Amino acid sequence: MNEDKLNSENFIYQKVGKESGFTVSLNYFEEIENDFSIRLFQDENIKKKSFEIPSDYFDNLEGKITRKIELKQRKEKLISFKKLALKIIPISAAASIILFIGVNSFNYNKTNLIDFSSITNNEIENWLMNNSNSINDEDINSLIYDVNSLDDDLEFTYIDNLKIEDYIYTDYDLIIINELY
Amino acid sequence: MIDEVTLVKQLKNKKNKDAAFRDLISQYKEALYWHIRKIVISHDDANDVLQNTFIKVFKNIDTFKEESKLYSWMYRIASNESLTFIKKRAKEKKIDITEVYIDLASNLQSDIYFSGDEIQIVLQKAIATLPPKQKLVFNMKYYDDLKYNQISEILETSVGSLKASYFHAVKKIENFIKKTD
Repeated sequence: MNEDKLNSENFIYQKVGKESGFTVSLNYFEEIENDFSIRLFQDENIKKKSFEIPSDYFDNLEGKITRKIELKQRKEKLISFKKLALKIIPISAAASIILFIGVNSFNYNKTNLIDFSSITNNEIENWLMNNSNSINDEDINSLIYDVNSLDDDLEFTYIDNLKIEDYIYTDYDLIIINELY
Repeated sequence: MIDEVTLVKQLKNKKNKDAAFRDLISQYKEALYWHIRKIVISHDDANDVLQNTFIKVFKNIDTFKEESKLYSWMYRIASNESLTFIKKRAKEKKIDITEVYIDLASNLQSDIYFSGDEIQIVLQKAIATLPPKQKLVFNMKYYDDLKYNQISEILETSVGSLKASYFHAVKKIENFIKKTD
């Protein structure tokens, strides 16, 4: 590898030599320090020169800052109350919505639950067996009342006389009589 | 000529910094200029990059840890500034870095700061085709006569890797020149 490299290096050297052909302007390197110093000076001072301040800026600066801090603290108190109110409003709004949905959903479920036709006799018996201790006389009375009220709801007036006669003269009566004999 | 250690001490001392910086420029301007010039090709661009390099040295001298030699540190800054400049040019023109180099080498004939003949332009065109690392290694070894351990310190790359890079670079250049003959 080394020999190969040397051969290539020698080939380039013999063909081209060590001169790159690049040149610079006359006195370039003599003047370069000045160029850099000027540029560096400009670069370093550009920030200082670009920004100016009012002549009395530093006078009473402490007083200005402390006043600003006091004002800020007052504002913070006001803002904190405002912040609290702003925090409560959305929370209460959210709570109202939840309550509204909850009540409606409860009512909806309740109407679905009051469907006595879906309750089997066994279920009623089981419930009575399990809850017999918790049922008092008043509960039973109220239930009796409810049953009576249901009877009251039956509209006998709609049954006309002919129907009653038909009912009396049905075969059912005969059957019952025959059974008795 | 001030030794490196003294120069660094003076550069880090605010009192002596400006004067020391002038000495620094005076000592390294030519070496750094030619190193940059061979990467960016044009004199005007080399001048800009050289100024940026010295300004960076001036601003960052306090962060220089003295783990490497001052010239290695400055060469590294110059190499990075040069490569950054070429990358920026490629981005501006929306072309590949290699294309930027080929363009620059092709424009050498009309460059007033180039006095080379046809074969030197061919060599520059050949160098233009090399990857950035091989380009740097070739320039530092062939033109600047730097030793591998010096290049290793500048580029923070192992000597073995540098030898391989140089070998590939000279082979590619040899083949390029032979093709154009």
